[in-house]
Amino acid sequence: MNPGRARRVSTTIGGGLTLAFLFVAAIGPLIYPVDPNAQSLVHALAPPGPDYPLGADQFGRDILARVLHGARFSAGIAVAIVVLSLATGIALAGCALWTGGVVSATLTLVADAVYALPGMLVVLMVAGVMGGGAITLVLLLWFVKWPEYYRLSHATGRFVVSSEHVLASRLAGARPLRVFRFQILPTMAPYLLSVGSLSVGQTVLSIATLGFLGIGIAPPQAEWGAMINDLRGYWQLAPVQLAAPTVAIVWIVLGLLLLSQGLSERKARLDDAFS
Amino acid sequence: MEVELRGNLVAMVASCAVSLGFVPITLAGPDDDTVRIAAPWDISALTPSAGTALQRMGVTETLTRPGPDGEIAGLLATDWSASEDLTEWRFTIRDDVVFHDGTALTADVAAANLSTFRAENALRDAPISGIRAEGDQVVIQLERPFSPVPAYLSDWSTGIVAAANLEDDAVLTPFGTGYYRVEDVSDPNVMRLVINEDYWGDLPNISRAEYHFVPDVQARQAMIAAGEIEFAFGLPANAVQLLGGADNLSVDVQSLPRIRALKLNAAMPPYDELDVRRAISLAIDRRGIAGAIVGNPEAAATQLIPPTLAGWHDTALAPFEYDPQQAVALLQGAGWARGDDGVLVRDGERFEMELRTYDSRPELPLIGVAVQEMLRDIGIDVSIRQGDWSVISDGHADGSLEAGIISDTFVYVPDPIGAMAENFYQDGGDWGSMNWHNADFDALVEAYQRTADSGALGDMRRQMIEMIHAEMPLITITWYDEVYAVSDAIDGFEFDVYELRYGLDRLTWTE
Amino acid sequence: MIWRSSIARSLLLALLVALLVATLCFWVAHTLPGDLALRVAAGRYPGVQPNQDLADVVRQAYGLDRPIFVQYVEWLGRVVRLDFGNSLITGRPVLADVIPYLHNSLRIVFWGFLAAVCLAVPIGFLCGRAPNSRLDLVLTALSAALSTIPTFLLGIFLVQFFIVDRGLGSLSGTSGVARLWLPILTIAIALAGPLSRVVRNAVADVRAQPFMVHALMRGVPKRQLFLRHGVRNALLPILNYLPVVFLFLIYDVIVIETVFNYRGVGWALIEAVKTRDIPVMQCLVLMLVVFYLVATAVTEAITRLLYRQDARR
Repeated sequence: MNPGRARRVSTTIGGGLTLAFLFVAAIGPLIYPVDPNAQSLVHALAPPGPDYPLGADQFGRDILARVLHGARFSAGIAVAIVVLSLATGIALAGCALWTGGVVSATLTLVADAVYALPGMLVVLMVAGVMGGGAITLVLLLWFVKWPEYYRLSHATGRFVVSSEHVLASRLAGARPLRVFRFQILPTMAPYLLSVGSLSVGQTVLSIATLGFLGIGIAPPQAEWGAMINDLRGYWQLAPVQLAAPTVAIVWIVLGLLLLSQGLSERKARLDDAFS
Repeated sequence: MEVELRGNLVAMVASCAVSLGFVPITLAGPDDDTVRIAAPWDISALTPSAGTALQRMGVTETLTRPGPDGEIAGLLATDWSASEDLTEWRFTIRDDVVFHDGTALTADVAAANLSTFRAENALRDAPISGIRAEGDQVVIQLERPFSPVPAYLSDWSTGIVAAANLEDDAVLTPFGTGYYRVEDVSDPNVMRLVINEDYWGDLPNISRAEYHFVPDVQARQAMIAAGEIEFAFGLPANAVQLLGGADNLSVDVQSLPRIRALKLNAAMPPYDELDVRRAISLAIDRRGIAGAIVGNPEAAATQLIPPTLAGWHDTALAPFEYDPQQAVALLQGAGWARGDDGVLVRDGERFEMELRTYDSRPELPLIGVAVQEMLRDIGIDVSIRQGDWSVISDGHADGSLEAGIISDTFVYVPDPIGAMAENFYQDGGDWGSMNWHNADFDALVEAYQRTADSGALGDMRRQMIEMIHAEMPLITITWYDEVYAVSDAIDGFEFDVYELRYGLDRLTWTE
Repeated sequence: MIWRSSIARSLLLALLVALLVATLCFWVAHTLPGDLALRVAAGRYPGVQPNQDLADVVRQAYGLDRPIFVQYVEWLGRVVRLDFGNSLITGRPVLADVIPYLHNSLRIVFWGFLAAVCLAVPIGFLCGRAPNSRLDLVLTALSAALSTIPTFLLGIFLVQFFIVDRGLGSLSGTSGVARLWLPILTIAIALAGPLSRVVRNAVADVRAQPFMVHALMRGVPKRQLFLRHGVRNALLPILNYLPVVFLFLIYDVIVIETVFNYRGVGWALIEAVKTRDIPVMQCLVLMLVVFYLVATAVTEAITRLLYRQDARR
């Protein structure tokens, strides 16, 4: 198999998995409108069957509905975090590049410091002690993630800002935002896309891990990591129920990983074009 | 300060160096005569009033102890007497007892123990005006007639330690009088004990014991299944199914005079309305919870106290009902109406509840989630806050608690009047009612504490139970079955329903 | 000159990170829902029903009634001297309680890291020697698959498969081969996935460099070629990647110790967070951060020493 084909296959499979997942997360709860929190204690740990396609958990809640709503929760939070951090990173990097001097140095130092922070440790401590919830999680992960994009945008943007066509536009009196929109952003886009899709996957993993540790997710919210933790004592009694959230996690993370690898090869070709 | 810092650094470097090698496995267990226990309760500070481990493992002892039928017998006290009006009690202290540090047990030390820890142990609920030593006697002076003093002195929190431990700010080695003495507590999660050869009573058969604090229920289960411990306490109901097939252990179920209950803040609107409390009780499917989560539908509660405490269980009372429709009707009668999202609204205010739980007892958070859904059905929007037990006690102390899923026993003080006074008298207690005031009830408690006539006592008990059944300051959900596993290598274990001791002194190895 | 100022910047950054985390620790403790004094009182006087009077006593004794900034500075001063106060649960000095955890964690971290390197380097080298060969594709796919499986799932699976079902290990204690082999293996597998891919790319890149061809033409035997000219150059990206590995190591240790019921720093941290034992939590978080910063600094120093001449050139 030649490398080009491997890359295309990787992008196709990854993109397919990701799209299918997003599709399911978006409309799954609509075509399978079962309340993920409705309990039926007499059906606790019911095996898969007509009433419960993937079985029921220890409260008799429908596992399929919970996996679907969990998808919506994880994907929603992860995308929100990545978009927020991306916007913050790009905006601050643009600000730093444009003004330069002390502002730039300070911003870079702060970004480097937060970047060097073991982020999940901070999230774990704060969310664990304060008690979590979706909003807390988004804010915390946003705080630890924006420097990644700041550094990336700053590094790639630096070359572009000093390039002749940007200089020309600035001299011609173009407004900063316009230059940014039409000259700088297109150059950074492939990098950001690749890193962004990888980052969404990592965030999904982080949320699942926090859920597993019992931190930051309040019941009865359907969340995969928490579902796995709740059901891991029922390994023998409820194998399907335990496997469902597991497969869901691996599916989306694998999809995003493959996709970002495919995209990063595109980025590599761009790199070659630059040098 | 400097020296301390350097010492710390040296210790850290040394520990790093040592950790790099695999230390050969230190085998404990039947092979070197050690019985090992895993429990979900932390060892906490090494004072008798801080945690149950010291008392249950036989390190410390109390002045009295409950017998099998609940009658109080002597332990460190040989006998006792009360003045005519029950305001002065004298306990004669056993004279042949030596602490683990070699000092002798005297009435002075015992009195010093009781007065030092008075605010921290069960005695805080007794109307004590003074404790002193006179010769070989401890004299306890009371503000009003108080009959259950001997029962209070058998609570686990009133264990007696040597004088040296009373002076330390943080006790590093507790010196009790029990049949095991502490050998090593350098690991805050493991307490290693060795037999006390100078024990005043019969020596245990097994020479060593270990207490392991294992908060993760899965880990406790895996450890007993792998034969790494002899006892695993606090197992979930399904352990009977999951571990039932193992051939090296048995899973047992013991019903205890303990309940799981919903605690409500009776001063916080709308829980100050009786109809709201009754509606909440009606909305809880106790049988469903008992069957699915506790593993025994018969454990569904019908009133405050389980039938195992015969004198305190009133068979004539109408049992709790499960009737969500009537619950909704009650709430509508109180002026609540469902909003667009299905949540009840009254005067523009949504019915929201913060329900707190803790996970030392693995089923409490599960019951919390079940109750959350049952209350959602009648239109109450419940959010759950889970932590350790301090989310309940802190919330009780600062008044921020709205509702909580709790568990409490009625027999830490072997006479249930102890628990009734602690939990419901005046403002209530951490593990009982909260801000529920009923002068008639308080008068009954005080009268009960000075009465000796058994007929009158039975009458008062019935009245107390009836009051709580009618006013619901605390809503009992289920009775309590303790699920635990014992290794087949152990013989002679009997579960102590007072939860005061593991009875390690009676254990033997099977041949 | 450039070299020195970049060291100064690294130091400043490390200091900034430590201070940032310390500040967060302090801030979390003081914005805790509920009264901090009550929490301390409950820990200080176990068994007492905490009440406002006691809280006032504690507030006075611990100076919790003073301006927050004064408390902050004083707290920092004590932390620098490794004095974290007493645990709210055991009542003992935090450091005395935490040292056994540190001891235990170092044991699995050291061996786990070593095992990960032993696993990742040969695999990465094999793949990088023949990029895009069938072997490379299979191993790369495998390591990619491994890095998509969250560590907690890996841990749960291994515990169930080896310990619960087959009895090939132990879940209690903190020493002995039976106890340690599985957590160490879990760390190794979790880290080897990403690490082996970095090794692969580094080796593949170096092999494609013109100077390798040049050396070959100069007559360096093919077998010695990589050893003589490749290793040094391939090592640089790997060393640069190590801080990320240390970061993964910290996160994995927290999860793995929880799954394996192993009394290390990570297990203790989760317990401290759940029981809100604030002093212990502060100590553990700072300890992990300092471990990470020191490990990163050491790697950086080694990199500088090895590639000093290149920097001068």
